[in-house]
Amino acid sequence: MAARPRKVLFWRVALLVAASGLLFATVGELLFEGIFAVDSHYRGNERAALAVCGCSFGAFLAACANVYQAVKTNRTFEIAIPANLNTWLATAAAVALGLAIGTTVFR
Amino acid sequence: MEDGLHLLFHFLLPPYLAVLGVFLGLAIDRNGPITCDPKQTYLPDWLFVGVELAGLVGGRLLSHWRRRPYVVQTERGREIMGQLAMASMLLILTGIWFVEAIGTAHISMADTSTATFEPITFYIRCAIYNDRAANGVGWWSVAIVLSISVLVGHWLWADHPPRLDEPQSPAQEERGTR
Repeated sequence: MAARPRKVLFWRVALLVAASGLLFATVGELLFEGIFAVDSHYRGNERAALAVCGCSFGAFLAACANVYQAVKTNRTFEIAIPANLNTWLATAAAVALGLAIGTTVFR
Repeated sequence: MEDGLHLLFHFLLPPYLAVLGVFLGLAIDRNGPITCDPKQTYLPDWLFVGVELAGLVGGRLLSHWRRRPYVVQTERGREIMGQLAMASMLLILTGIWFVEAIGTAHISMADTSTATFEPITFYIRCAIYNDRAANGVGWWSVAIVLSISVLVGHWLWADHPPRLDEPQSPAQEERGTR
C-alpha cells in the first residue's frame, strides 16, 4: 500500500513567521523600548532586528511542532517552498538582503 | 566535463575563502579602523545591491553544472535529530537577533567610541565605510558581498538538472522529452 502523502503546510508556516515578525516589530518594540530604557535619539533603530528575531521565533515554533509530529506519528510535515514560488521568494530575499546592506538603520 | 568543473569549483572555494580572510585580516591590521566616520555618507550604495543580485544568480547558474544528487530516505531517529537540530538553530538565531536589537538600540552613527553591546550590523557598516574611505569603491566589501551571495545562490537556491535515470514527470512523458 502506498504511503499517505505528507501534509503541505508551507503557507501556514509562512503566515506564522510573518505574523510573529510583525508582532515583534510593533508590540514587541514598545515593550522592548520600555524594558531597556532606549534613549529617544536611538528609538526605532532596533525595529529591523526585532522583526527578524520575531521571524526566527515563529520558525522555531513551527520546527517544534515538526519535532512533536515526528516523535508522535513518525512523519514530519512538508514545508518545502512550492516550486512556482521559489524564484520569486529567492529574488525578494536577495533584494531585502541587498537593501539591508545598502541602507542604514543607524541614525 | 561539467560535473568535473563543479567539483573543481567546490575544491577551490575553501582556499579562496581562506586567502580572502588572510588579506582582509592584514588590511584591518594595517588600517586599524575602530569607529565609523559619521561625516561621510557612503550608504546607501546600489552597487552592493547589484553585485549581490549578480552573485545570487551566478551561484544558481553554477549549480547547473551538476545533475540532481540521489536522495535517500532517512531513518526515523535521524529525522527527529534533524528536526531537533533545526529547532535548536532557530532558537539560537532568535537569541542572536535579540542581542542585536539591544545593540542597535544603544548606538548611533555619530558615536565616536566603540559600542558597548557590539551589534554585528553596525560593524559591517563601519567596515564598508572604512573600506570606501580607503579606496573609493570599497573593493573588499564588493568581494565579500559577491562571495556570500554566490554561496547563497549556489547552495540555498540550487537548480540541478534531473539525473538521466530519474523517472519522468507525466508532462514530460507526454511531450516525449526529459
